[in-house]
Amino acid sequence: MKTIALALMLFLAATTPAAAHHGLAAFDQTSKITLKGTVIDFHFVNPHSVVEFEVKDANGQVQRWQAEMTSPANLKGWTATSLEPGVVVTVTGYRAKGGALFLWVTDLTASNGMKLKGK
Amino acid sequence: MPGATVLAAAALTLFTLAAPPFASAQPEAGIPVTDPLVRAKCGTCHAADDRGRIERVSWARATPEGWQAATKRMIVENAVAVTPIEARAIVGYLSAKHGLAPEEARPVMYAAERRVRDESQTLNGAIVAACGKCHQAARALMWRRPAADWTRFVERHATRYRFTPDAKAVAALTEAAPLQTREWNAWSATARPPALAGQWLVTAHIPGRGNFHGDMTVEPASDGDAFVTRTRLRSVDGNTTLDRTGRSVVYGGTAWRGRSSASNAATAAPDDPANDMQEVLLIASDGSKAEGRWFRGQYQELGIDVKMQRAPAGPVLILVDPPSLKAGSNAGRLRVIGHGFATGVTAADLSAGPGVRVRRVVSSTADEIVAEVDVAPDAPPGRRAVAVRSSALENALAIYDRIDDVKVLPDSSLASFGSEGYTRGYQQFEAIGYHRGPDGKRRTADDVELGPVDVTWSMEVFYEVDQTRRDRVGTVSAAGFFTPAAVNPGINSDVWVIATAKHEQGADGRPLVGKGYLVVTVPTYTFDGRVYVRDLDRWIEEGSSPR
Repeated sequence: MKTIALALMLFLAATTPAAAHHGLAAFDQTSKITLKGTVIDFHFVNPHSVVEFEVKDANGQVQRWQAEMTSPANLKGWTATSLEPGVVVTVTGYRAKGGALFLWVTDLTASNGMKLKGK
Repeated sequence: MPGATVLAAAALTLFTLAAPPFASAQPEAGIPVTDPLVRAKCGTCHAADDRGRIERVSWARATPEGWQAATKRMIVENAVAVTPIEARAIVGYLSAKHGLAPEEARPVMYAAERRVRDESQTLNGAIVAACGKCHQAARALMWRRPAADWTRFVERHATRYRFTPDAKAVAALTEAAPLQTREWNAWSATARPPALAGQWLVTAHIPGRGNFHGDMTVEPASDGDAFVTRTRLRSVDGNTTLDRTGRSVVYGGTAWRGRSSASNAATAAPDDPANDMQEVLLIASDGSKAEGRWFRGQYQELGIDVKMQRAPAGPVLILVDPPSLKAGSNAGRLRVIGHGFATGVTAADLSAGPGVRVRRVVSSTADEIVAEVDVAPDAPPGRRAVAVRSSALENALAIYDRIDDVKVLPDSSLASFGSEGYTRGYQQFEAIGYHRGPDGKRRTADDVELGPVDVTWSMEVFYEVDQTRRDRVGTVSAAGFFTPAAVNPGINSDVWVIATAKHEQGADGRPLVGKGYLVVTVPTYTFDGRVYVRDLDRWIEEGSSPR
């Protein structure tokens, strides 16, 4: 029953296509983290755009993070080249609950001037 | 007919008779309905006027899929009594006389061809926002109506599916899909029954399997106005041959709709191209070419991209394989496929533009020339023509210095687990290489497509720390074919389907990687009392599929 309930929750958008296909249940919305790193790829795709970026941790080790955001249709003024490799980004958002290096973007500022204010 | 239905029909007829003449409310001239069967069946409920026009019907045009859906709805919901043969005749007449001109059909063919398409980048935002919530917005644009009928249609649609009509969407539909257009007036004035009989040259691309070529023989069927087809396709490497026979109907001289079967039995594999397929093609206005997709009825995400052209009297090139060569490569094999090549072709008869030297012709037949070519390190990148003597195929070959980007197609897709009553939804991925183009920037409009790249496929499940458990979502084969797990876990997962180039690296020395965003979902769910199922790239209410 738990899984069915979760499936329903994921489909609250009902008949919408893949765009806006899930909520934020996979993320810990009780706190936010902020990361600064260098873009290695940007996927301007449905249902959610994703920026991949590298962050050096406290030990100097490089970690690959992924930051998920809204769909291309809702990213007004953005294109597939908005975040090119090498661009430095500061990303704030909710981290994935399971501990994966994944977060939902609430704020993003890039060294090339691109900005996103999410929720 | 049940008594209640008879009463309802009688009430509707009385209401119709009592209402003001419908044509007086229509500022646009409707299309007279001349077919006796259509007049008899539609005229039961829709009033006719003295100019041969029938309410609603005369003020609508649509693709065969649109008229098929409308006819089905009249039968199921309004108890219109027609035999299957009559229903086909009605759809045939309306698709031909109230259809779309080729120029109108082309932009929405992807919907009839059952292709996944991100409409947010190509269509009016209001239309996508309103229509795209439940189905491809192109499904609405498969229709043409005057303003009053668009308004009425949206109002009834809103009542039926419980949403609030959007005036912006109505205005956009009225502007984008009016009844009267210059294209339709020109096409309908000259359209004639298709003269398709004869031999056609065919090129086909099967994602995950590569390019095929061959020919199709088209003959009139002994019964009715259909055509029977016999097609033989061979893979460019010569290792696979597909023989298919089919039967097709061409509506209005341009809309090819058919079915075909392979001569050899298909395996149980859903992506076996020997499976039965539906055929949807658009024939060019001059009848010389056709283009479209063949796809499986049960797994419409799996299909073949098809192009056809009439076999000319003289030589013609139809395909070059591979579609790209790297600058600085030597002794590469270039296969030029066509029809009517002369015997005794030599290296001097072939040209592939500046920087490409044809060393020798390895083999040649009337349909295929295999040559060995060297590409100079400074050969200018970009697309160019390939020619055999005086016959050329434009943009047939791309030269590149490096692959700048790998795009996984489809870049966004939906697969589904199976369960009792619902088959699994699969997905075939393909990795396509791109050169950065003249502007020096990748992922811009001038990028040059290089064709499929040799890659290693893998998967990454979103939000999962332990990626060893990804088999519970599914597997992706060495050919990029995704198969959902056999057991439905009752929850959906977001997945990267990752293509890593085997022989190329990125400009920064990193692995050259492309990713496709795949959502793997449960097969069905119920929300607000309605059952939803997957339909290509979205969820739709069960039973509302256009097919």
